[in-house]
Amino acid sequence: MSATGKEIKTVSAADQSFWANVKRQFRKNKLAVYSLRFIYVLIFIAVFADFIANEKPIACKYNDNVYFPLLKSYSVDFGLSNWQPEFQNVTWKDLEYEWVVFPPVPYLPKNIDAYNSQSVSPFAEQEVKSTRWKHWLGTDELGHDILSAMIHGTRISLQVGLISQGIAALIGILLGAMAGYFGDDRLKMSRGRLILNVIALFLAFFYGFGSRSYILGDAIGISFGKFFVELLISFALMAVIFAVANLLAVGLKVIPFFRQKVNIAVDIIVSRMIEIMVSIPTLFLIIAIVAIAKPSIILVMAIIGMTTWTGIARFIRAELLKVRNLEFIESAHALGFSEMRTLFRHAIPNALSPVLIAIAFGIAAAILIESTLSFLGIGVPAETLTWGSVLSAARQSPTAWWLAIFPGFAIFLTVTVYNLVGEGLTDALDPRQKK
Amino acid sequence: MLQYLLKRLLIFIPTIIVISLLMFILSANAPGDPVELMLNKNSGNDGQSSQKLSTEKAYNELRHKLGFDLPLFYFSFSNSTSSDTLHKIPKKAHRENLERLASNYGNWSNVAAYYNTLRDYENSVFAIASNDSSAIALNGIKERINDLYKTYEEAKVAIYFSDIEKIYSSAPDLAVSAASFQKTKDAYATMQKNQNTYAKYIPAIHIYGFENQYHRWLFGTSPWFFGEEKPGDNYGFLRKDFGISYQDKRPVWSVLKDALRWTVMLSTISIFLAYILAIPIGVMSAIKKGTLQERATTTTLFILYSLPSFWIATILIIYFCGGDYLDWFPAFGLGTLPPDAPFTDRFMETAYHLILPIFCLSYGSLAYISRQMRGGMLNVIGQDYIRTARAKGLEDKKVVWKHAFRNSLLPILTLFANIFPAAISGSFVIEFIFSIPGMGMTTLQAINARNYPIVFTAVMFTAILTLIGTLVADMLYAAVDPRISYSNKK
Amino acid sequence: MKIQNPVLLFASAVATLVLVSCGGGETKKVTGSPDVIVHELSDADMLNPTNYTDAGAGYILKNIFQSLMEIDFKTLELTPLLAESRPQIEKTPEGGLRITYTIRPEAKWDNGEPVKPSDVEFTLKVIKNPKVKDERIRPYYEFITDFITYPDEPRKFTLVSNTVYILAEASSGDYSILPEYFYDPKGLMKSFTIKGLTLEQEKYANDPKLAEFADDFNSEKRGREKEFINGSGAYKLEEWATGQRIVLVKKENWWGSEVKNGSDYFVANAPKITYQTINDQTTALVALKAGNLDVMRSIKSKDFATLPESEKFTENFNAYTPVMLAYTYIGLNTRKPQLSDKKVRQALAHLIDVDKQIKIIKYGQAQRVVGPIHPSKKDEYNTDIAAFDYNPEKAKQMLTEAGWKDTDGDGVLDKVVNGQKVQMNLEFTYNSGNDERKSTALLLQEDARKVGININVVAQDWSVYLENLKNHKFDIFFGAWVQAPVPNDHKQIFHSTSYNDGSNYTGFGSSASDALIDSIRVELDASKRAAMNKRFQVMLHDESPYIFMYAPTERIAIHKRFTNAEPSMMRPGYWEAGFALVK
Repeated sequence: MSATGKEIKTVSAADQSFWANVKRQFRKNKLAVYSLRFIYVLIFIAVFADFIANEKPIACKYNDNVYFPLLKSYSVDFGLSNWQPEFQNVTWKDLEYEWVVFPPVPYLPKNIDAYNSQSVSPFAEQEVKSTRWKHWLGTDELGHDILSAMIHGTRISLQVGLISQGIAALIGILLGAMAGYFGDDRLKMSRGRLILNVIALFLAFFYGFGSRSYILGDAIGISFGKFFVELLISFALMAVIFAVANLLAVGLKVIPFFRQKVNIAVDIIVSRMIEIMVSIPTLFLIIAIVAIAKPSIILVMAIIGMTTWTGIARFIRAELLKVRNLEFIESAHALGFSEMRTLFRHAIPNALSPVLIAIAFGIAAAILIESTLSFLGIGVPAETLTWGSVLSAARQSPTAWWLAIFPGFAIFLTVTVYNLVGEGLTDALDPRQKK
Repeated sequence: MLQYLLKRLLIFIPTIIVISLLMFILSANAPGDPVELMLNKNSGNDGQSSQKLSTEKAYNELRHKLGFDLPLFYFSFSNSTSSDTLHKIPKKAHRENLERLASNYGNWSNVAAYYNTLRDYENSVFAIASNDSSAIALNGIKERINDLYKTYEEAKVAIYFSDIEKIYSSAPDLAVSAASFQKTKDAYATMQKNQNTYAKYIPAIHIYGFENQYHRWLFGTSPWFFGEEKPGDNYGFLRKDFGISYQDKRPVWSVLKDALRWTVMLSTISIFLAYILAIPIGVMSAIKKGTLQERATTTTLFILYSLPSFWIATILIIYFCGGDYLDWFPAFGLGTLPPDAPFTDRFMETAYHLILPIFCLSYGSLAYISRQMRGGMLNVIGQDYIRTARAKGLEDKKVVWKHAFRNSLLPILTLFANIFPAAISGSFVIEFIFSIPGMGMTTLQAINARNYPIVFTAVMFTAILTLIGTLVADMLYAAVDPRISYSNKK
Repeated sequence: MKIQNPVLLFASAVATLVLVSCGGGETKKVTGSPDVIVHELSDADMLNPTNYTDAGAGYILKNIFQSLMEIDFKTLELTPLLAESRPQIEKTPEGGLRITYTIRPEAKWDNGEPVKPSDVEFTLKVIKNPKVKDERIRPYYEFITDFITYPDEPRKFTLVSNTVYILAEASSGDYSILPEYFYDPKGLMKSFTIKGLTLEQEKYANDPKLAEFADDFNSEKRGREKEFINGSGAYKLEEWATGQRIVLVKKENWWGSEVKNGSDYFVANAPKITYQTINDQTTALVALKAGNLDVMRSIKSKDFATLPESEKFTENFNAYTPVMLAYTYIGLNTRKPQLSDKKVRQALAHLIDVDKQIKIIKYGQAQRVVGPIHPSKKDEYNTDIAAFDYNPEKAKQMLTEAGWKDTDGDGVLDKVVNGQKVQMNLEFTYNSGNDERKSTALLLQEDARKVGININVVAQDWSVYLENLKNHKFDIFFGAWVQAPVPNDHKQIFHSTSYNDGSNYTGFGSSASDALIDSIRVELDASKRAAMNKRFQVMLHDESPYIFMYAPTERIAIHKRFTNAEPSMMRPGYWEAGFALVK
């Protein structure tokens, strides 16, 4: 093939400057750059949502004292301090301050404005004290402020997209690359190590989850943080068991029988895993699990991530199947690079381009899955408003256009922006573009 | 190639077994007792305690008939505190509590002894005939016993014990059962005293043999080759016996067969359409990259892709289905012609009804596939051999369709295997909105009602269909890309 | 339609009822089909008259099968159907009842044979057959212990009960009578007696003949195929397209047409009735406006409020809002440490602005209630009880009186109960998908937060929700009871013996309340019963295991081309077979 001569050169020359080059290429694509900037804005809104839309004042003077209720609410949430008696369970906007600075949008999504219930249009006359309290994007059935819901929804949709695809990419790239690169014939392991690792797998599962199932189960009932800590302990236990097994394997090499190398058919194993994951309809799995467990957005993200990695894995496997037979990888071998180094520095970057589109689309898909789950009324807690839940509320009141337009536009923009960034990256990562 | 095909078909078997195991584990761990779900539906029964015995009997009978009194699998891998006879305990809630007690105290025989004394105690309480003065007290004891069955926390158990003692001191005519209560308390104390905290950290394997739920589900109870059939035998999944739906007690196959037909039809048509449209769109937007035309197409596709289908479906129904606006399409169902109407009429009517649902199902994947096609095409066009071909003065069209096209089909072929199951599970929203009784909706309703036989079978069907889809995709893949070697040649 | 609320078969009192109906009534001459198309939200589960479990199937079955008596949907009184008149009831010296019926001389099966007492006996035996899957209804007929026929009067028979019960009359005649020749051609059930099947259940548990009959009777074809479903009603099953529609057609030469002065159930004008399943409300509304449906019930309050804006709707449809014989409530788990004090429960009642909720959630389509007796039962409804007013200040004060204070300054009230500090954290559960209940929960959450009660709102799937209620795994839930126009029996919901097996989810009950419930159950004198019921309402109001919300009104749309379409308080709210074209 005529392209190969050039590729060998790229690989051997440009290890350090590879990403710098990508950056340069990416900057050339104006649309992608603006999209990336827009993502930064979304991230800013998501991170500072509490300060943009909140019922609590940023600062105020009340009874001759200056307070910062919004900051204070963080320390109260972390259990570091308590509210002053005069601020306990108050309706913040009804207090009489000497002076006060409210966030730009003085509502939380869960606040119910009793005077503006039954879906008030942004242009209709609203029963508010002053323009300061106006619902700029209208209200829904119960009187929730839509603008506030949109701002806090940004945080949720960003979390859903990034975290779920983060998990998916991690699993997908790792497994897919191994499968494609090693195929069925390139990974070899000593027999002793293989046997010990299989035993370790059982033991790790037993000590990590089997004997800790009640501890984990109780923790999830208390709080997610607690569960996460326990989960980490479980993983740590499993890691220790595997480490011990592999240390033992070194010792076992003394016996010739265990020293013998066996071939591990990575591709077959991973392909079967992909096949299994793909064959189970994702949405059913999510619904079934969400129906069993308590509704929590983090659970939804984790399940989306753990079920959608197959697409990424398939792409990278297919690409690596092609790449591994190309001469430049073989020359990397010839140059004496280690398997892992060749895999991660040379093979994967060359196969990333379709994967990045898949991730970009995946983020978008995750946001859409969340909205479908909201349509079904599962997944997120009842008092949490997301773009999806506002949009599905709109389904029931076709005349309330503001319930459809704003979240619909937000979803559209976000999805599009991710796609544009994905494509920008695709072009930038393509080694042939370097002139 | 033929060898590869055979190998793939053989590999299907373990894959399907693993999927069935996964689903089996999921449904076994789901909350809710399937036997109770099947017995008492949403009705409130009259709640006379005289009925208790007959309901318990009915429960045990049904449980036995459905095989829920068997162990789950051929073997179990758990800790040494669990017992190989636990599955014989009738109620699921009780079973779970005993398992936890065993794990806490590390001694199964003591836990079993406690359970047996509690049962004896319950029987002795139910044997007392209630009279007006003692009815409330008696009832109080029954409630506490009921709670004890489901409690493992020591503090709570202590509260229940002291509650029962209080009741005894206030209602002397119940004292006949007090001795039995004392035994229960003693058994609990023994259990507490002889703790073995480490037992739960010792792994243990129990072997159960062929008499288990999974085996029965797969192979059935009726003999395969020799022997006589008994009434009430089932045939197992492999012989097309998928069990009985908990909800309406119909055979699963009869619930799913119509649904399957509609869903396969809907999803194949929509996928086919999506591909047919997406490929040219993708190619065009790759060739004309950067032009206004390409930008417009891209934007339209993005807009389509980013609109949730439930919302589009609603808009279409409200504006085009004869509500307050246009009356172009039917809003629901599949038509009302009887099955004996001429085929062409029925075909036309069904097709007319399916236009909107198919549109809603395919527009999302259309955008996705065409973007992938574009990506693949761009990739190929940039390659040297294409440029060389162009430089040689070959006709542009010929270069695109003959050389570039074939190679850029690769990534979108891989997609097929992903899109197919997504189309089936994704179709339920559309099926729900357009009232099409397909698999998606049937399964969704079954999940909500914990009707596991249906969920289980539906997932297995989808899995098998997907595997076939994957195989077809792989075959095509091999046909398109000569570089991929399926034989293990070095 | 799925049973959204567990259908309470035995509740409520016979009373003179005023139908509150607003909107329509006006009819219009439209050339159109005399066939009726009724909307259903989901497919029926089966058309087996004893085994079905879903309410929608029950309404369809009324057109295919008939019972001895039925509650008239207009007068709400018992009216004879297959029976000639209401039964004669006499008390026996042993403290039981003898209920004697005579079957109408005209009543015939499709094969031309008259309906005989043996068919009634057969039906009861089917219900009592332990292998038949009718666990849902079997307990209601345990009270019938014997069956007596009279050789010289072939149409007369007597049911014997060994106890006295206020609902004995109503339930002695409310089951669908099955044709013996059709459902038991082999005569498998012949050798059994009602007495045996009721009193010696153990003996028959494994009888092969009962099992053989039950196998056929429970089979799928008996519930779905038209060749295997047949009754004495005016209609027969014509087509069942699963998940799509059920079509009934009127029988030629139906015997009921010859009956003079029969109740409204003998009017069957529609030649064909289609029950069209459309799962999504929004789609169904469009289909209604498009003219694909003639009857739609349980339209969402919000949609119903906006329907008059649609020209297509007002031109072709009448909207009806009969009061529903049902009430909604918020149930409180009285066994939880946070809710065991009645002051706390009353405080919660003061936090709910029921009138406002009726306005913004039900769009005014509901009537406030103070107890389990429907306000339309004027004799029994206690008008002296003042409903809890919306008063957060008072609620705060009551919580303080009950000892709940925020001692740790975290914004949530706490109290030391049994030596342990308990936080006022509560969980409000509702069945997922029910947006009205969700709204109520969110409104309460917001108001409760301001007095220091932290409420977590949780949606649960219907089956999980019910299971948790039965196992008392809840703090607060939103529920509803649908009633029938028969005397109220509170045992199932409020008696302490119903805590373990019945529907006493909240754990309410004292010896005084149990005694009162038991005496209401056996009091046959209506005026004495009314006084007792009023006392019971006071008791419930004081203890507040339920916060009683409102009796919703039904929201029905019926096409204007039909006359004889007056709505009824009884579910489903209309008698579709009686609809006739405007002449």
